[in-house]
Amino acid sequence: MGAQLQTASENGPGSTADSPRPLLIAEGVRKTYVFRRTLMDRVRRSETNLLAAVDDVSFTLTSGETLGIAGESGSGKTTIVRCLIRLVEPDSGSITFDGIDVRAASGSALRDIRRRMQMVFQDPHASLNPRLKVGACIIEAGRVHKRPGASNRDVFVSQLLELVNLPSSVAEKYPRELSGGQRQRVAIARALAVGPDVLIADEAVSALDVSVQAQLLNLFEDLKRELGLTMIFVAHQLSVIAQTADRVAIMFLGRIIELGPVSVVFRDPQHPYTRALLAAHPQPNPDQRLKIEFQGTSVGLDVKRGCQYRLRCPYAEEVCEQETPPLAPAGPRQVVACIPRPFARVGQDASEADVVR
Amino acid sequence: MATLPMSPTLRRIRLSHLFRPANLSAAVGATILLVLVAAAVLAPLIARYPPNHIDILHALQPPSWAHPMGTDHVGRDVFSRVLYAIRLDIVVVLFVTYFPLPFGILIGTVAGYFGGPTDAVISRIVDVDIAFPFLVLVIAVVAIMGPGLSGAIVGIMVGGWAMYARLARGEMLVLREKQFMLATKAMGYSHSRSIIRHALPNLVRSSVVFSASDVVINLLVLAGLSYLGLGVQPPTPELGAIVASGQPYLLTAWWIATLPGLVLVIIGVAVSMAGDAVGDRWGGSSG
Amino acid sequence: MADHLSKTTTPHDLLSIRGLRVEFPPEWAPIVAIHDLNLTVAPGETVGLVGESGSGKTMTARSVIRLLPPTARVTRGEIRFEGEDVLSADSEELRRIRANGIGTVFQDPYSSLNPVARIGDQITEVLRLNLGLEQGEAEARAVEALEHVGIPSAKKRVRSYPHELSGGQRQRVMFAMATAARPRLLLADEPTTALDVTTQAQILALLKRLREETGLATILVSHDFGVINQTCDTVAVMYAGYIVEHAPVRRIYAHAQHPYTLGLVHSIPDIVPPDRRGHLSTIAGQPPDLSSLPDGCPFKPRCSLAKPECSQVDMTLEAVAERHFTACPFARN
Repeated sequence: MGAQLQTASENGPGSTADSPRPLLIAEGVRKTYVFRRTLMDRVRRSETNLLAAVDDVSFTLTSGETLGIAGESGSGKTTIVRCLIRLVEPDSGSITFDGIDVRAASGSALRDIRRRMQMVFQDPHASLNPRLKVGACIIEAGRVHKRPGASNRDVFVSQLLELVNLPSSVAEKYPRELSGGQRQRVAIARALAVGPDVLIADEAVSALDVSVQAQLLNLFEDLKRELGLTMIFVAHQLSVIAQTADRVAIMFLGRIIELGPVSVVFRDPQHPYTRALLAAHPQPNPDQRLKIEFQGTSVGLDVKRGCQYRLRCPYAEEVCEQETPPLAPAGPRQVVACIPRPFARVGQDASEADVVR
Repeated sequence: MATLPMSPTLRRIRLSHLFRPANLSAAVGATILLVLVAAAVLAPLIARYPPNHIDILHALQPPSWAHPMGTDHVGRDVFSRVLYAIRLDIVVVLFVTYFPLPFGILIGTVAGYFGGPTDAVISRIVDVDIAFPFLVLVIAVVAIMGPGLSGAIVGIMVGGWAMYARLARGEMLVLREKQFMLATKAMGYSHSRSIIRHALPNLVRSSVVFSASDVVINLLVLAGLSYLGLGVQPPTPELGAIVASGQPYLLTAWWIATLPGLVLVIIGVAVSMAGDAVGDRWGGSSG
Repeated sequence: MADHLSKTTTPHDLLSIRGLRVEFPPEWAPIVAIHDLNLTVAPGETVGLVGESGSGKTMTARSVIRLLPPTARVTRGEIRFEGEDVLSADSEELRRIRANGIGTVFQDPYSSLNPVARIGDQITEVLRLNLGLEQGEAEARAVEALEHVGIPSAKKRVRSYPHELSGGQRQRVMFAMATAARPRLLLADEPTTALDVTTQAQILALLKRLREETGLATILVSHDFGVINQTCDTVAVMYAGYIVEHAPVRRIYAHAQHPYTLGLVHSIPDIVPPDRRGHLSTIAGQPPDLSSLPDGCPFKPRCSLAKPECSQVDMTLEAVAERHFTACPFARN
């Protein structure tokens, strides 16, 4: 089955599973949106009414790993992944994929980057062209990128459908004839049709029923194993991230405020917001009750200096208002953007060198 | 943040119930149109007299078996003239409405897709064209090209394409944000592929719905031009022209002006009814 | 059915639904959205309705106040609120029930509030029309209601428009409107689905507080087992228009009996360390197509325990433990 479909490991040196060089490096990425900005605002160069959707975000992605990006609405998690493939153009910062400068790429180089980093979107009702049959949609992807095997349409399409556990009869259907879960599978098949290294799932299971969601999550595991895929998994539910990711970046108002291995971050979160997220997760086990660990409901948009979270944080101190906390080491391969560090483990040395961002 | 998918069965039920009230008027409209088209196609067979056959001896005859719509001031059978006029009107009106439609849609789509300066330039042109009073614009073109059918056709097309551009642009602005359009960008598809293969098929619906009323407007403009002597030139039969020829005799030989006028109205109503049904089925957002 | 009902119905129930059947008219194909449903809510009790697409949970909640879509029809059954027959109530009685007895909160706070009216006006309108309060008194009560649901600076906020509030605050306003007239029963249909998880936690805490302070009974509809288990006393699991299991929340989590409930509970990812996670157990197949349900148990096509006898099951709820009922005769162990 894998013969016709080029797997990720055939794509180039940076993508082999045992290479230690990061496949993707994002550094200082920034994207600002303007709203309700009057002429006087511009003249005075005031900073109000500028919304930093993504504010100085940096992370790396190693081949074969799954990076989870978690956050709530307004955290910037969707914007940052769209910046990676330039669906949204970042204002500043650098993005390097397999050694290539993504922001400078154009034409066929950009097309190849987009081939190698594929995205699956959230809404199964909107992510497929309603006028195209499933088979046509998949084969188009293969043909545009001149995939080997795309010349034999039926075989190509049915192989991909089989990869996502759909019967080949689906190829003749329109998206509206399929259920949400089936549509997402088609979207995944379309993404896989071009032989990507990286699959970015942007809230790809959030709009599905629980039982269907479980099927899709298992499918992602199988695909990662069979095809050697690297994944970025964007979700607002921490349970989903816990199920799929190796490392997780927690985002809040455009910044990564904590980053580290899932086992470490979820067991011993160092940032008050991460704690709040974990505490707010409604456990199916009724004996573990919800705890609310923060106060206030409004979140200010004009917070330019200092920690964005301080308006809600029960542990905020004066320094939180004066300085924007940088991501600093907090544990084995864990970094956190918090200066007071109310949960720091006893005996922790901030100079722990073993940090992989 | 998570929205629930609607059960596919529920959705099917809603559509079928939406369809039902429009059934009757759609059927009536479609039937009338079919009859008219048949009349137009079969005109040479049904018409008893050639449309320009002059017979002064039988001028200004009221409707009778021999002349279902009477005769005009030079004895021509009005009914035969009307049949040939329907032919011309339908063909011309369909042409002037649907020939510019694809161009208008394409221009609007390109404007909406690229945005920025492209959109600004195109939109200004579209705005100017729409702002011009339609009839004035058409008459201006006719004035340049001289009276006659070709002038009328060109004039109507010049005034008519812009609305489709505006409709398509508006839809494109919405469509651009839909995830499957983002997906075409993420897949690395070229602009032309994204526009032609993916955007356009989803944009035609609103324009087609609008075209029904456009057909009616254009029909009336064509008839109006011919009435004014600026469109079809005599002796070519055209509904407006026939009405004009009957005007001096309105009090004595009322049938010459009113019966073709009635046919005009019927065509317009039939197109509207059929158009409404299509609009109900297809109306709203695309996809 | 008699078994289930007699053990859970008392003459003092706040709400009792018996034998409810809701269909879409049989012109194209009869679609039964709810089959023969029995449910009771005691005063102060919080009942959860959990299920996926097509389960009928939203329909059930809407039936209680007769807010069904125009194409749906109740073809059988009885719904009694405080002893009064809801289904045959005339328009005045129905209005009274909706105004004073039962409050409703819907899923989407963005479209449930009138965007061009101030939120204070929307609440006072409810109070003036339904409780006959004077303007001044209604305004005071409106401020009180906003404070009650935790909106800061309520006196100022009363003059705000919906778009000036966050999603969580809008949902709080919905709760304020729903509870302003002191209803005895609250219908909450996916009240937190559109909200961030931290906001959701606050709304659930608010719901808990309202219950404790006013003794409000609640029907909470959700697809999220976590939300249900954190807020409800009992839960009814629905599938394809049937209740397949009904039990106190603790028993559902630890001792679910029905294969669907079991499948659902085990397919929910939880926050576990990577070394302990594996494949999620899943329920095979797709959500049910209501227009072509099989005979007997609708879950049969997806059930790992399916037997030929399942096509003759009549889906009545039988007790397997104290207050714990299931519709599957074969899974009792």
